[in-house]
Amino acid sequence: MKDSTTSTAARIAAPHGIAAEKELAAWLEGNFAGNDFSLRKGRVCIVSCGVSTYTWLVKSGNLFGTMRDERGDKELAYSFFHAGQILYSMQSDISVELHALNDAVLVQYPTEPIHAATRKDAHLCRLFAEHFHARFQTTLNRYRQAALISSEERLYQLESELSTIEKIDPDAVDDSTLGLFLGMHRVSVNKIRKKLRIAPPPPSQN
Amino acid sequence: MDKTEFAAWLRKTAQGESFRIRKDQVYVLSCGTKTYTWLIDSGVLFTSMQAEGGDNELANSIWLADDMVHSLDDDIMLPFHALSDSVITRFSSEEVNPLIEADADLAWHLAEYYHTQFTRTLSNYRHAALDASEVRLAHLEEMFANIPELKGERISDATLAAFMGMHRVSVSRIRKKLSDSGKNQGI
Repeated sequence: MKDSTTSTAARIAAPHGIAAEKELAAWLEGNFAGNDFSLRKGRVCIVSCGVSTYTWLVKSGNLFGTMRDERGDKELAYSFFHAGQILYSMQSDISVELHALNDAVLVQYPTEPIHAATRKDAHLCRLFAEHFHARFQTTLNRYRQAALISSEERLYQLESELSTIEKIDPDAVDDSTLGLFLGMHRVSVNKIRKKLRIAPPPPSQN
Repeated sequence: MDKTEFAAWLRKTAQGESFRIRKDQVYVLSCGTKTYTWLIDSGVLFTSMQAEGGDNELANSIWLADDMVHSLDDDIMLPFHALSDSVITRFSSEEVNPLIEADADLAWHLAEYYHTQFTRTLSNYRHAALDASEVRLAHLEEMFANIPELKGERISDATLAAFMGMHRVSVSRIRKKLSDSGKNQGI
């Protein structure tokens, strides 16, 4: 899978979103003191994120975030978080479930001083607009895939996306993890994976 | 700054051009940093996106009076579907964006706008991936019922289908099932 790329990765984050993330990360590291937290591969960490709690920076490693349905039974992965990316929320406090795809280090910053400094600086506000715009576009794309394309093609695109992440071998990512991204049971994922190894799906006609 | 204050600022600061859209009409409009930023003056509309190279449309956002429609892309074509008679105004993004970017309050409003777009889409995605069609449909009907401008209007199967990424015949079948079971009060 490593050399198999599609346009998926290019759609995952707009270029201006990546530049804004980098600038925001450098600004955080240069201006605020944070606490490091290490997370071992396979572990799940539930972090508090919000205006009245914390902002997080991924210092190293690769993680993904999940959310649950209203009853808390079903879990859905919605985004990858890589080194240099931030987790910031304008809500007061939300819980974010982070799953480590490999050994990772997170830095925790109190949001209050970050928020106060941002609100006075038009350029930082613009960077946060770009940050959320990029997250919006990524999520919109996942939503479109979930609603309009076949499971085979979604899995194929997800594996293609994973193949663009440094230090991640898509073949080594288990069926359960992929199932979280697709809202599917691991047995169904396994069946589709086997099918895809034999023949990749034709481009969507939807 | 809330959306009404922002809309008032935009109307006062920049020269706009208004368009009327009749109920059930679809206008495909240009939106982006090199083209236009839009403001809903009155009415209710929704925007949708298309599947790659296909005909299927998926709706994501509902727009009400004083909502801004903005994009940080250079230029995208957005289909606006009018759920009621509407008036929308376009403003030159090249004129408006530098003013927003120079003012912390306005730029923060833009950040909040994209944060809202992100969290709303995340919620739509979660419903699409995890909820049964019946639950999603009931949720949508409730959402439309809570829009005062749409009081007394029946939302068509085709509109609901656009929000669910489903065929209208499937939506019709689920609606009938919900109606028969008494869960659907109708809107």
